[in-house]
Amino acid sequence: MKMTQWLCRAAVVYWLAIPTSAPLVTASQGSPAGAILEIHGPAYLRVSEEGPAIRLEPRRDVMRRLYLGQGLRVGAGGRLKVALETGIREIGTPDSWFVLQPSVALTAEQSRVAEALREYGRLGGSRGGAVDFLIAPANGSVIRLGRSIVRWRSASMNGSVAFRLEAGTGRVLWRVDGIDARLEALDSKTFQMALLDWNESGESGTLILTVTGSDGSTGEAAFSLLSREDEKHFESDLSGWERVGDKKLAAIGRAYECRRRGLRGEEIEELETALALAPESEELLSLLSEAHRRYGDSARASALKKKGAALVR
Amino acid sequence: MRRRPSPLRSLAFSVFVAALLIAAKGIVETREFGRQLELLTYNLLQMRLVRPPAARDLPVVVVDITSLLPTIVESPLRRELVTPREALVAIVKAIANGRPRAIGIDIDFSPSNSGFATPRDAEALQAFLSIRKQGIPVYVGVFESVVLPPAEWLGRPEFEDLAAYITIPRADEAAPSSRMIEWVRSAGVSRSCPSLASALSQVQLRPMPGMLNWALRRVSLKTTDAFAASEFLVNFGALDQLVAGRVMGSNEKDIEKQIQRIDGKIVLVGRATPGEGSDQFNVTGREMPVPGVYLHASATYTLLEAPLFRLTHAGRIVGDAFAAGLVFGPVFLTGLYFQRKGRVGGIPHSLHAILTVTVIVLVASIGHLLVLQVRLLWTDYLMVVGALLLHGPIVRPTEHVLDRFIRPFRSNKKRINTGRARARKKA
Repeated sequence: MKMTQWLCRAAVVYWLAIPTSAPLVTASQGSPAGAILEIHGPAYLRVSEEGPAIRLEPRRDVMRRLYLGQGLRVGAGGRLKVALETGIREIGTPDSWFVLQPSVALTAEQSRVAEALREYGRLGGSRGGAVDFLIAPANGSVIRLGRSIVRWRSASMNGSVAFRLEAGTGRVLWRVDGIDARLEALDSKTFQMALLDWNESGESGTLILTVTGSDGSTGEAAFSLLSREDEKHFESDLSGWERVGDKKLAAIGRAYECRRRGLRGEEIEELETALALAPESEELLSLLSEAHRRYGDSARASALKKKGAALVR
Repeated sequence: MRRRPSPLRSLAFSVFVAALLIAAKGIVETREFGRQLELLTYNLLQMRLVRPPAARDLPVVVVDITSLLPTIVESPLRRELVTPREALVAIVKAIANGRPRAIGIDIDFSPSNSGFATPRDAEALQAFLSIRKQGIPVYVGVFESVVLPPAEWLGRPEFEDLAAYITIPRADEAAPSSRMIEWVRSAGVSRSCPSLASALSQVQLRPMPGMLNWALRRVSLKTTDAFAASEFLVNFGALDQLVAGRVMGSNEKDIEKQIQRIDGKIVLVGRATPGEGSDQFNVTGREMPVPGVYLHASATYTLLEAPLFRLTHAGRIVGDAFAAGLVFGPVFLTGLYFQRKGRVGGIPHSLHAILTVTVIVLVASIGHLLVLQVRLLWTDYLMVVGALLLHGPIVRPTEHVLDRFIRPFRSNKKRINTGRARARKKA
């Protein structure tokens, strides 16, 4: 266990051992899980999912104990600092409830067993349904050699991230760790070389890219490579669209060619190009929104849909 | 004209050569070539497995929730795309209304170091517990949390019984998935966690009865210093029916419309559109990988209706020896017959070849029948056939070499014996 986690756990356990005299709200169930260290601006507590939001007073509620299942939220300009077993956390996102959940801090022995189990088998299901930490290569997509930049959503991960590329058979082809999560993209020569080597070895099938954040969050994308023969046909088809006089139409045509081959990332890029040429086209907004929805980026899909609806009004 | 060896000596040579071939086969089995050959046989046998009944008659059905779009869950600690828990609970409740035999949710609910995947997980798990109280077993997936004490597999002790392990063992190099887990136990953890298939089917694979235990096995134990896992071979005979007969459902209304397809069945809920999920696996006999939920469904079907058996090491040796005996026996008996009839030259080569080919066909047919009727995967029977094919070309030259090597000694011995006999006679 890290020293900071150990100190926080020790502090929380110590603090929780002292009997309380006048609680604002009596916790009815669950184990104590933390304490409030600082309250700045408007901040609220709720004891259960349906319970009312109770305003926290900076003087009265500082060092207040927190229990599993309780929720914390800050208003505009508010900020909370809480001590949890996993460390000290700041809560600063307004209008979003942070619910105290059981934490799982593995011992060194448990980490060793977890690593052995990871080597032994692969998750045969989805992790909480999470499918799209990785933007590129997108899950279920096809990519081309030479256009294989790894992109991810940094908002979902703090600290550093690690990547692992493996063949569908489980053979690890490439791995790297300690990448700053805020970079959001990695143009790695070793990644491209690993893809090239795999392609030249004559193997085919699905490749799996796994990303693991230092906070334990993980994401996976299963993708495949466009074969050399298909790539030749693809380039020939793309050049056909270049001869079309209109740039918007050419971009949509290229997006169509990409979609036919499962090149999801490139399809989105082409549709974005078309939209940049006609930013208020209801049809293009709808097309792009549908593509994002299909490929799992529901946030971008709904933003485009809203934009389209606003244009209609 | 060279004298043909006696049937007894031919038998001795054959047994000697067969023993060498079986030993060589044992060595080859442990090498890459042997593994590839065994895999080839496994794939061939999988294709010959008896086709199960139509999808509507299968005991297992998959509910595909791929069209249920994930939503973003945000907290000060993380931002994650997840299957919306409210919608998932509504779907599971709708499934429960169809009176299924059991429900398995192929989504990993194990908490990470920052807690549940969503703040609503505890609420969802509580809802699944309520369904259990109605007499319908419900299980949800766990993955890495099996390294923790059972009470923490799903964060809280009351959820422990909902947990089912959803890991799929990595296949050997360049091989499709063929094994699934019955249970796993991490080092230092008090009890094993059942796999989703094992929990749903409620079938426990016991060792074979004592009489057969030395030769056949249904499960194999994988043990390391970090964990132990019981594995079994999967019967993918129902895979096509499972994919074609899946129930598409993005909300409870979709399920209600198809409720009759769920009645009395084991229902697996997951992202099941081939090519869409992140958990894709190569399986025998399919060019395209399939989502993991189908491997769990096939494993459940295997446990319920069509378990596969394989030979132990001792069973393999006895099987190989039996197959070799099928060649030598007829050759030996025919040789004896020819000797008694006073035919010079023993068994003709052509008859020997016919006998060998007949036995090869017989061995292949037995292998085939064992798969079809008993579901015994005698995966090395191609190697046995190879060994039998080599048998003829090896035995004859060996006999000749040994014959040449032994004849001078035998002639000398004969000469000495004859001389001694004469001397005795004279005396």
